Amino acid sequence: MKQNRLSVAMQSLLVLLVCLSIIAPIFFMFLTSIKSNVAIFTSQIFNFAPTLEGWKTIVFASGTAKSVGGDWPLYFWNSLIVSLASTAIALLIGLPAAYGLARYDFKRKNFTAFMILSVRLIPPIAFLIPAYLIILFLNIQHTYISVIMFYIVFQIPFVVWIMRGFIEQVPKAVEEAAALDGASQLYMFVRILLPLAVDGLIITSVLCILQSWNEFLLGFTFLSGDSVTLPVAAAHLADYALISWNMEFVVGMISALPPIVLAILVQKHLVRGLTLGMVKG
Amino acid sequence: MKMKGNPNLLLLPAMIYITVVTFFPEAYAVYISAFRWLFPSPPVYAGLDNYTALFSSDLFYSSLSNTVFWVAVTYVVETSIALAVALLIQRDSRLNKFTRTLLIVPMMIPPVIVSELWAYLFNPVYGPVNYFLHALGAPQPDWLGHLPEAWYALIIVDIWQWTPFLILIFLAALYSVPPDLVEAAEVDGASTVSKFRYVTLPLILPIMFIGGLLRVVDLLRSFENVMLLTRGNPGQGTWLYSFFIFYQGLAGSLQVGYGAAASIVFLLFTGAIVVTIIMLYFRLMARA
Repeated sequence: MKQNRLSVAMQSLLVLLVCLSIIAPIFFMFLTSIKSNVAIFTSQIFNFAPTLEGWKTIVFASGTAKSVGGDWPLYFWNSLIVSLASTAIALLIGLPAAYGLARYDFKRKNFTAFMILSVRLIPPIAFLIPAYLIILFLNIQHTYISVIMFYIVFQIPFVVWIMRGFIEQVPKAVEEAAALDGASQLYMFVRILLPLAVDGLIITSVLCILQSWNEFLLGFTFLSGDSVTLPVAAAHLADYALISWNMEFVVGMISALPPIVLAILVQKHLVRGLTLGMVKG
Repeated sequence: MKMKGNPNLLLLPAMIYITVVTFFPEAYAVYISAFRWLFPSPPVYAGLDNYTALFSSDLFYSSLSNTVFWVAVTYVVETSIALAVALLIQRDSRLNKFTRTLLIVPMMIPPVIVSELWAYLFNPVYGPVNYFLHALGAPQPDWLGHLPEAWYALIIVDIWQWTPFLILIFLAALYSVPPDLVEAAEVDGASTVSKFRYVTLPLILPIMFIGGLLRVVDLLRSFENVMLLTRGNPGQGTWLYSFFIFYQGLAGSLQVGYGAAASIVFLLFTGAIVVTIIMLYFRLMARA
């Protein structure tokens, strides 16, 4: 018994160590965001005078801040538009496909499902160059559309694969009853089926939003000036010879907070979502 | 009851969209890889020149072998840690539940921010990591400008951000094991090790496989940390293949034909690895 209590204490200690290693870097991000750059460069790790200069520059002084890295409220807005618009369109395109795969049997069904999945496996860098040339050819560089059109294609596999699983869980009898009542297929899908698969719809939307919100490579290549999203602007800010770490980490905190909050809200289904519905978490 | 409506019509928008926005650019990449094209001057037909240039470039081979090394080492380390932590926190206690929520946090932070955060933490002059090493009287390496420390840094950052993904998947796998099976083995007098090896492991293998496959695919495309943390330094020592494509084909040089050839090779390479993993998995399952 005594042995047992000791091992429980050891286990708790190890778990605390895991927690500490997760929290410590984030704690330093926060700590650095309330330091002056002088304090940062002179390695005052704990004994420093806190200041909100970084927070003020990023959050409030959008006009004057142009000289030190840009118009941050605008970049936040860009990220928001790009994430929400791509997610909305991906749902519109992907939901019918998810429904088709969940409810019908047809020739080459597995092949079709795998083709949609394969997009998740393609490294984006492998089509960055042709995509860039196409965007130049269409003359849509530095626009929201340039990134949205590619973000949608990354999101479609999430919509199709996650929603397919959630729709399959809804008993077919529900639809059959609605069909007997003479409901149209669209009405049935939107008003009866989707509300029953609402957990799936939420986790799918959240993962789609996260994907676009955090995306860097395409945004970095296609966007510049006033069209950049937060990660792209953060990377540009870090490119200055004498980097302003406090501003960098204010941007870091602000751009990390929405995804973290969203993910914790949908925690229950997160694993299932992250594995495209292939693992029932 | 037979379902009304045509499933092909339902799938058509998604299939058209994917074809136009993914498969068409890939086909276009195959086409432009046959041209010597220093953008924006006009392309010149070059046959297979880009591919022969690629296969005789030392940087091509070093980036590719760096990538294989990177994926293999990081994957093995992350999987080992993840399995240990998942077994550690699988019981429901208040601390364990808190830890499971906390695990979500690192992987939700935008990768760019994670790179910048660790660029600061690892800074050899004023970064906290070396500050603590100094306080402990340990040597303080130049984390980002020296080999092999630059690799350690990249691997540590990826472990920090992405091991939680595997931990959560392994937890889901462990919970999918019916408890009575484990109890039955206990009654039969199985040791802890053989219980895990013969009861738990075969049951969690399929889920571990999916998690592992996704992790390998994401490790292959790693980009942000090399771009923003080590910047490929020292020399071209930490160039991954994704970085090779970006720098040889786009940023700075704009040799888009050459870059397209490199992209096609990467696509085939990724495809070959995915197929190999899937085949290995099925062979393993057939034996288990």
